[in-house]
Amino acid sequence: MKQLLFGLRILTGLLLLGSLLQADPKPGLTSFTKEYCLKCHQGEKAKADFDLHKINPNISQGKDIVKWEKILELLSIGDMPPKKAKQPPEGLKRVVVEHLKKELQKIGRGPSTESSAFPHHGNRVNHEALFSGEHKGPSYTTSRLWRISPQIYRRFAASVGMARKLNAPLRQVEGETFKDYSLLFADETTIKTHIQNCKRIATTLIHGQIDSRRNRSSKKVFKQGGRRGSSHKVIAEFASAKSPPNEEEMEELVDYLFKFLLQRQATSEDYKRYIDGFLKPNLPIAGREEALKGTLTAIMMSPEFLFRTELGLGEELPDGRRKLSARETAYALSFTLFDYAEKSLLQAVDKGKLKSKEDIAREFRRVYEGKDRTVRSAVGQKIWMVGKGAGIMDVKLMDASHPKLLRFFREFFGYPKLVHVFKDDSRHDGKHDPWGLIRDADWLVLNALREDRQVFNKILTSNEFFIQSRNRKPIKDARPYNLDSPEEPVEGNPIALPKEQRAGMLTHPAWLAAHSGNFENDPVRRGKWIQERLLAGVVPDIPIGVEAQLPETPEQTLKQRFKVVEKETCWRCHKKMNPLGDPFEAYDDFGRFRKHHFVDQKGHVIATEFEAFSRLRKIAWRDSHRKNHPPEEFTHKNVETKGYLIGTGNPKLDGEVSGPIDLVHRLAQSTRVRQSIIRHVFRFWMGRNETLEDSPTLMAMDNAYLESDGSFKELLISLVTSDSFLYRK
Amino acid sequence: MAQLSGTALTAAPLLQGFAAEPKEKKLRGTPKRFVFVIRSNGILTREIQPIKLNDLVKVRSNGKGQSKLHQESLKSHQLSAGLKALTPFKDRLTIFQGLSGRMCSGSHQAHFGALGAYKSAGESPPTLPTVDGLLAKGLDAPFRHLGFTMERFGPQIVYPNLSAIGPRKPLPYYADPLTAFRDLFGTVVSDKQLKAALLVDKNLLDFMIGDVKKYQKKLPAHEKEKLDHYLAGFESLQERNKKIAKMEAQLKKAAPELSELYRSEIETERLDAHFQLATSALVGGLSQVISIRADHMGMRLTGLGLGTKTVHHIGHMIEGKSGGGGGEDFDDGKGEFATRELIMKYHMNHIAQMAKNLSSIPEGDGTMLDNTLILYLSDHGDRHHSKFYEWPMVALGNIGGAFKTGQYIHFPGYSFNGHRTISNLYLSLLHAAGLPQKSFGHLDRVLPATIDQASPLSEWV
Repeated sequence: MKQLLFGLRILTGLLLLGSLLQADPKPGLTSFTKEYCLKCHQGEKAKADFDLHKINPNISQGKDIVKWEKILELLSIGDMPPKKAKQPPEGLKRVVVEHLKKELQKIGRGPSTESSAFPHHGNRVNHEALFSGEHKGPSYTTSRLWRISPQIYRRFAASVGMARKLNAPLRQVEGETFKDYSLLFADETTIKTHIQNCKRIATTLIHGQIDSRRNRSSKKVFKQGGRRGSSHKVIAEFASAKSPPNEEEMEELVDYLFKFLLQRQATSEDYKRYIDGFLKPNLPIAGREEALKGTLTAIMMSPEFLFRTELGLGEELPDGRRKLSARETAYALSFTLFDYAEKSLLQAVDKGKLKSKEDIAREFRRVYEGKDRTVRSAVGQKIWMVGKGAGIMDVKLMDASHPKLLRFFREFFGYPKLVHVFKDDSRHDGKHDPWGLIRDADWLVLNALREDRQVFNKILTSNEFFIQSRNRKPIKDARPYNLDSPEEPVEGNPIALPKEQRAGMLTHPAWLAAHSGNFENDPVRRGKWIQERLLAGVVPDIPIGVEAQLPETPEQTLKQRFKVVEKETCWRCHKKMNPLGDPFEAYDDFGRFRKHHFVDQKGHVIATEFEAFSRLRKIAWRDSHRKNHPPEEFTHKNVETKGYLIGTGNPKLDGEVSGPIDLVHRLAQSTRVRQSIIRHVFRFWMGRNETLEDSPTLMAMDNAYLESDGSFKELLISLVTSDSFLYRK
Repeated sequence: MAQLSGTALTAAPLLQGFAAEPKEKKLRGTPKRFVFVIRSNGILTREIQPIKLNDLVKVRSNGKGQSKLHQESLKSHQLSAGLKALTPFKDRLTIFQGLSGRMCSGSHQAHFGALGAYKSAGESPPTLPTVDGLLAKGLDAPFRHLGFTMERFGPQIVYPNLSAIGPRKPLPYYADPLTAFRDLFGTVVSDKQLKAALLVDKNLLDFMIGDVKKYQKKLPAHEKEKLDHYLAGFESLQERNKKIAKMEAQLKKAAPELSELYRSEIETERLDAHFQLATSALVGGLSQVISIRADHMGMRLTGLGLGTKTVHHIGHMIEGKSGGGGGEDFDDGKGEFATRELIMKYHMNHIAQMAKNLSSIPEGDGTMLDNTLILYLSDHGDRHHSKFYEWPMVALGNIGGAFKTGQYIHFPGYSFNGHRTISNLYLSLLHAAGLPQKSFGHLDRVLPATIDQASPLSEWV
């Protein structure tokens, strides 16, 4: 009955306001603001100084656009009206939001469709609606070109022996989010760097790699270094022959290039395109070698090389959706796990074994479980990023057979960012090893994936950590893990750390340090991460004009200094982050567990025990040199680790938490957290944000995960056999 | 010779971001050139202080400095040891003290903030254009902006997070002088094979434009746009090649001589090559805005005999004495200030050489130097761990008389009446270039409203 009444309310509300808006939007909006906003936002005492009393309902006139934009933002993410106030019915809200968007877009304001397609805007789709079952699809993805990822590019470079020698031409999505998204495109920057790379690849294909030994001994600097000779006979012979090539020779060449560069047979159209269109006119001008280089470059510059094409070339359904062709499916499946087109999948296409959903599940399972895959060492050695910041990856561990699995967790948890959080040497005496910590965190993930049972739970709560996993030696002086100098050497990863200190990734030094500042903890960053990644929440961008500045009061703890954000204007957003980030004050910004803060004689709080140790050591050294110096001693201040969890949708879990371990365990039990991770899985592998039409896919994934006792493999199989994955429109 | 092939097309992504910009109004008259030389570790206030005026910059622990404007001619003053090489150009110099940049942040580098006057963190994309980006946008040239940076050895083009043409559009820098040489002066190398390669390149561009257009026809409407970006890239390359082709005679004269420096694994030698290229690019009319990043935290100044410490460590030698993290002297006993002086001299020699070269080339009634400004600054204010209360800078040149040079300007300290920020300085540059702006970067909101942060420096302009 309640539901019926509620439905009626929506209906009447909708009818009333909807018709008002359509007929004449101005009075409709005015009555909406009057009903739901003006109680607080009116006159001199308007909350947050946001007075809507005389707001101009004629939006596109432009008088109050800034206010309207703010209203739109807060309405659409559900922050306003506040929970305790009178709520507009969901349907009515949707009508108003759509109307505001439309009006603002008329004058080029409001949220742009472009920016909302980025992964960090994904949470704006209502979570409850996605998993309610009321949306039945049909699910599909728009037919698309998906620019290849830098890793795919580099994997190709590795296949011609140039993994570490080329510039990175492909930019990624910026910020702390998924890096490879289908909205990316190739532009001028890409072209210029890529063209340069192509030339060098072409030279290598024709003459082989530079022989670095000979090159080094060469005295003349500009003398071309010796080359090892090409391993591509067809290419080398074409370049070196003297007589003008005949038709057959040229076709053979193009055939070879297509198979090698695009993994497919050249068609008669391709012959025409490259032989008549390019090779023939250029041969007389420039000779065989230069013309060949040009042809190679032209193929590598073609959209087919730089983009994954998912147009939906298969059968068409009555509702207009088209299935991916078997070949397109093979590519899509390949790139789900690897950075290259997997041969056995392409062979399955030729044999007609990749047609039905059962076929796809079977083949995908086969390659997922395949362990016989070896990877060339050149591939895994570096993460290739734009500009600075490339780093070493351990090839042996890089569970290299399925690079994308680990990449998902790395990008989801964001711990590799650790290397960019600069910690001054003087603060840790060289005991902070970012790459080592990243490796340790990788193992936490890989270990859970290897068992493939209750994967999320395990990653979020396990106290079995891999420590100093880069070394084979017994563990020594692992300060971030509170293993300072164990009396007996600790051996054998994983090591069970005290349960009251560690539980899963969020208590891992890699994650903690990656989500910290240069000099201290950052509860905001940590809380924001939990809010967005685990609770599927939305935190609005920092409003323009707010200078986020903490008071410089060294005698206060960070938590005390953060009192400033409890002002009403700040707290509206900060309440979504700080209470979630605060419990992690139980660790310092290196990820070391602590029970109290050190305070020096001036009364200044020292951010980390590391620093205190370091200072004690230096003081001891100084005192041995300089007499009569008063000894420095530290006093203690208690660490406050209380926080507040809200947003799991489960009253048993929401509420005050005593510390990080309590928080993490509650999160791990939450359905919403599981579903939020699944939404991110969807985003990462589909390269786009989920929509309400994808609801069946997401729910099926959730089911597959639950039914398989938390298997990540089954989750992915559910995704790759879904309509969202297989159909285009 | 294969090394040098493919010149016209291999042009690096130095036009990035410009394609989509509407064409700015062309400025007539003599070109105006801006060179930014950016270093790490800050520039200590005392380092650039004329010798007799040393008392004015004695360590100010509260960061407040003096309360009044101090402005005087450099004529009767001897330049500091580090700046000695600039003595012949004393009448064209301006030494700035007392500017602040508190709107910036960062513990070792202000990133885009150094040239942009805004808060910019680490690897995050720029949120606003930087001064060189704005100048590049306004001053037309085949390469609107050229960047040269020190990086790991190898053929690289990198994004050092210093310059930006607009929000989310960082500008790339050449890390490898050889690659830069090929892109800038490849057309004028007289070599048969190279000429043929160039021709193929030209054909390749035409072919690609046709090919992509054909491919585009097969796509659904919403995906066509992705290839529009791609297509536009080819077209703009074609456009620039046409421009450069017309400049052959002028480029031949300007091209530097290829030497071993261009391939040296020693950083300091590569910097020599970068400066040569920068000068030649100005002379050849290839660009009017050039940024040179002279070092970075991770590199070693091997060629100066300072190879046992990284630039970061060198920075700490200084901080040690004033209570920071600490760092020891070099083995030969060379301490912090001596080391800094060595580095400063080294940079200044290059700047002086560049100025000398430009002053030897007539332009209009004077020389090219008359229409050039070289600004020397650090990407991190006044020290290794700066709080940006001070941002010492040295400017050489006056852009056709736009600036009152030959003077020492010491602005009132932070928050005193008449205090000025780096925004004011950059606004002055934009003003001189004929590209006046209403404001620049972010405001320092802590400063009282009485302090004007949105106009050029009246003391200088």
